[in-house]
Amino acid sequence: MHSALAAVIFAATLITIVARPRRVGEAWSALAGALLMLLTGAVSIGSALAAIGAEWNLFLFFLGLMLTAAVADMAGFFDWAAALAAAAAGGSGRRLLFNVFVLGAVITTFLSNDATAIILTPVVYAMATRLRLRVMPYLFAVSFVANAASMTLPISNPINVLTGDRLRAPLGVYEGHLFAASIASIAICLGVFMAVFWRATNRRFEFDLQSTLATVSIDRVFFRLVLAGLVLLAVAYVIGSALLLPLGVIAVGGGGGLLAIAALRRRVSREDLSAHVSPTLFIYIAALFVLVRGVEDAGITAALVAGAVAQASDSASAVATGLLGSAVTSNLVNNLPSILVFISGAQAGGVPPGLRAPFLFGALAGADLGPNLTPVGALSTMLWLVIVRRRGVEVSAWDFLRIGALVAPLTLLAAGALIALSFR
Amino acid sequence: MRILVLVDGLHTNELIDSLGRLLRLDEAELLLVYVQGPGPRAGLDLVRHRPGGHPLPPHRERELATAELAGSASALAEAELRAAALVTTIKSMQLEGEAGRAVCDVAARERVDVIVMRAGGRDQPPVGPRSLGPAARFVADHGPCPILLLRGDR
Repeated sequence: MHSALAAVIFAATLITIVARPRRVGEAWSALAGALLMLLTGAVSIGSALAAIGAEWNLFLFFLGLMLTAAVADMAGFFDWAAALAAAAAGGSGRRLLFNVFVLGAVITTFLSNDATAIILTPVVYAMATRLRLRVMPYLFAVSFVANAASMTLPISNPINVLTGDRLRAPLGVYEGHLFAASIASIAICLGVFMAVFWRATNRRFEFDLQSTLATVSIDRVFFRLVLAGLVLLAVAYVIGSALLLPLGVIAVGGGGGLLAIAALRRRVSREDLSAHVSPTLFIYIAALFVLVRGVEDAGITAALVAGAVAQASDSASAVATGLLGSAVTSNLVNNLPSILVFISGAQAGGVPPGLRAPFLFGALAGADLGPNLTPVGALSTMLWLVIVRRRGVEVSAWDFLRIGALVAPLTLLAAGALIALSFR
Repeated sequence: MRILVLVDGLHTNELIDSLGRLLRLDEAELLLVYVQGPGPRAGLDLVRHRPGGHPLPPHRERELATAELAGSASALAEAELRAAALVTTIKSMQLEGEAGRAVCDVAARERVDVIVMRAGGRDQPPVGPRSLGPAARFVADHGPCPILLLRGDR
């Protein structure tokens, strides 16, 4: 009885999260689902608190990332980086597309995919608009590279931290399995973009680096301190990943340090900070942990994952199962609940011990790269398209879906093959 | 003759030069219109969407608005410069909204004699029901005066 109830609540919550009836935010739908799990006894309060408490590293990591990105934005770091990309393009729209791609890959690698998608996109939008270039190719490039480059380091995507906590894989092992796949994904994505937008970006522009930089930050000392802080934080992340230190602590330490610099320089803006630090994201994640604990306690995640890996006989097939399964479910719902189910199922005995690492590395790659098929999950994207079309907006998002249909399968195929090879 | 030209900022020279070849402009009055459509912002919303929501910080919102104004002003300035050799009376207008609807509204209000615009983007097929872009389609259906649709090089 409890199993069926937990499954129904879990499925209904995911559907509500995706459909967003009456534009209710994902966090509130997830919270309602989690409360239902508690009220119906599908999860005990003790079990729910344990599920949330066990993920303290992820919560700290999210908080640290938000603080870091907020201060970097206040200091004009993203504008500065975009200005350098524009200057290095030498007036060529095509080279600018290439540079935007490289910039997005670097920021994703060291500041996470969310920083790239949330903060770099408006910067690139403003830059392309000022330069009178077609905005969409550059905007989409940032969005796609945020996913394509999100396997590069354990800190490049919060999902990596979540999975890394289970795998306990030091940086050397992590990169041994994912580095080649990550580089291949970035290269494929770049190649597709250059081919698809070759004509659309064939436009010259004039750009004055000095005058642009003069407007980037009014406080040079603040900017330099933040830049130095970001470099130190990147080094700390790499060392922390190598030594298996909790990355959440490093992230919060770095973000807190940068915030202190901003406060000392009197550059903290409450409005800007509240735009970057989203408390509802923590509610969303905590609620998801409770929901997944509910289906885990009912034995559903283990059964689901066991069913998926039943045919997997070796590491290559385990990689493929994890990769395809998480890529598909990431597009149906969202990659965070998707990877949580896969991790939970693998931990609860759904995967034989010998196949656990290849399965989870495959699932991680699927959750990182899969969202390139649709930006916010297939159903959410479709609903979004319907809503904006009703408003009479000329939507270029169909282009986005067309590119995704090309990029996602190619990158998943390459990543899957390379990860499978790394286990031979 | 009052001629409304929809400037898209990407094909200005091509548009004005074609206009000069096709119409007598000695006595014409040119109304150059640039429309900042909602499409790019909708695309930005889509790619930024994350659970938990992240509204644009106020400074970024201001910067986007400034960039959009600068982009449209620059596009109109380029068109004015190109058209100055052909016509003596030029008026420019920056508008916001869906391009087709905005053009029809201003054409009716300003009592223009002809609307000149591009037929569609590069991705529009040269023939068939989808050969017109959304803005051209709307103006072709609802325009209050004759319309001259120009095709670019393919």
